[in-house]
Amino acid sequence: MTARRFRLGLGVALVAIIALAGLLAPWIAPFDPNASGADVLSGATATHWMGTDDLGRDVYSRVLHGARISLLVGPLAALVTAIIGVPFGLLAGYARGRLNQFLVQVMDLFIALPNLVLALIITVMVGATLLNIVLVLGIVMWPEMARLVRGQVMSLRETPFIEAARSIGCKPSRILAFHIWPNIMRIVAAQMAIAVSAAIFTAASLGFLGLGLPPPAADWGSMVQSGFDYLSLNPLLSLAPGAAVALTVLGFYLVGRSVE
Amino acid sequence: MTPLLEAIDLARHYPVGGGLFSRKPAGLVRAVDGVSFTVAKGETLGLVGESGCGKSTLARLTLRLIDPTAGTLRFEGQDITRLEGEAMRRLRPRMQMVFQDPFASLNPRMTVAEILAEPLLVHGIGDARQRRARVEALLPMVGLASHHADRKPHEFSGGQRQRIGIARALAVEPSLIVCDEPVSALDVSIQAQVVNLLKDLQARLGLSYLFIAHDLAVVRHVADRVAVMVLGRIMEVAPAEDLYARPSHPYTRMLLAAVPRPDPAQRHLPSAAPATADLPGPLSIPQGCRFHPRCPMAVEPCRREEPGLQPLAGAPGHLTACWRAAELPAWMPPPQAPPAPAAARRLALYAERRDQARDSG
Repeated sequence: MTARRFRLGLGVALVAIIALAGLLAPWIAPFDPNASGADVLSGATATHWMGTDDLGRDVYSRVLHGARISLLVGPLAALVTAIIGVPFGLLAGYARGRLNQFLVQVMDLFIALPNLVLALIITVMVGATLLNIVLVLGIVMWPEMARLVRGQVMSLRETPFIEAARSIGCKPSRILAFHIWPNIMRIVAAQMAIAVSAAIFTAASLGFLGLGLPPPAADWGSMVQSGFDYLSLNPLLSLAPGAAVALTVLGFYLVGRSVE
Repeated sequence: MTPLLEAIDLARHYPVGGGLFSRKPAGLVRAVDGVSFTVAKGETLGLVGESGCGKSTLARLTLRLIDPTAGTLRFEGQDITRLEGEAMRRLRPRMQMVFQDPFASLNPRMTVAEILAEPLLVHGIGDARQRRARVEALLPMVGLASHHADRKPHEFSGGQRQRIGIARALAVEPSLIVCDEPVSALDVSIQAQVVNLLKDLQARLGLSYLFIAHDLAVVRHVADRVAVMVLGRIMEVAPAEDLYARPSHPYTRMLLAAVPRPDPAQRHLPSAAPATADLPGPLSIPQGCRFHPRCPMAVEPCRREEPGLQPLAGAPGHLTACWRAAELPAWMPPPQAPPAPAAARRLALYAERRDQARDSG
């Protein structure tokens, strides 16, 4: 088995496990993720596999339900990334002259800003709702997609079959849609998987910095943060959601990388 | 009669380099540097030159795939040098191109039917059914079967792909096809088939070709007239038979002498070209005649002033750009003349087989 196939297999397995956990959370979670119990801050027991948090909620159930949020935020943010980044990249790669210069400068400007800081600022301004977080992540991450697409377009536009398309009289819009886009779709799909992992990671970072979905949502990043104060009593409070983030990010990343 | 295509002093220069803080380019690549030629209706103009002489750039200039830096281009009497956008797009069906690389010139994601129908589609010719019918008609014209229509390019061999490329060029019924080394990337056994196909199509459809090659042997077989290019300029142009019988430029003679001979005994001919220094590149075109550093005949005037194309006495239509054209020794064709051995024999053999196949079939 090649390293590439191993990466793909491992990535798909991780994503599948997490997707299943998220999908089936209401049925496989032993407790209501938001229901407080009398048993506060217990360690791992037979009833509470990962113990309970400071409000007596079952950590295992909350980690399972957290998968639903991450699997919603990640792919949606990646979709926003593609919706902005792909057309931008196509245009920036194919256009020449002033338009090209302008688009590249806009792209460079956004790439130069640190993602997390930008996301923090915008989230503070617009408030942390699910929709806002998705949009913020998409707005912060699109330049990476645009840069990738632009590079692909620039190398493709010099190939003879694009020249042939021009010579038979195709308009630029047709060349982009029918000759260039189908040939970069695969790479865009791979980049989207990587964008999913980056979005989940950034969303978790926002949560950890107190800008996750407002309580009581089972947001992995917020869970890591709120468990921080009780590390000595039940380290799983932070470690479990932290590990969930890490495995999800790894899974999507591996899937994305193995396609290239 | 106005020629189908007329190029006058066509040039394409590329600025190169330039420092981080300077806007001035460090140099100028003169890929095509003042080329004039005509292609008449139904004629094939062969264009020969070694790698880097600018012949592919010239092909793309001719079709306005790249813009000329200077010069004039006329197609069917119309000045198309600065034609832009929609006006140029409407002209495109009249002039098509067959590309060198049959593997890279077809979109790998499209089926043959889609590739062949696309020129019709973008010019709004016919409806879906008529386009399909046209595809069905094109395939046998280039020697493919109709069941090939729904396959993708990767399922074909190089020769078959080149046939697809030719069919694509024919789809919109052009009057001019620019063939940019259409057989250079093919196996020798396939080359003859494709060349013969192009010739047959020309006879049937009255096409004009600008046929580019780096091999005088192939061009001899297809061209009515041949132009020889060095570093972005045409050095000699003549009717094909005349050029091979009476090459009047030292470079043309070098090319003819360099045609490979299958007989090992003839490997080291005294008349073979001297192995002097390589030709300077198009970035540093020498003063005077651009061929003089490699020319065995070069004298002082050749280093000072560039010769223009001059008619050769007693040979109508034969032009050469050489100060010493009149003084060249009488041309002795390399032994085993005609000097197109391997390819000519291949072509003859193929023509023979094809006739046999036709007779028996």
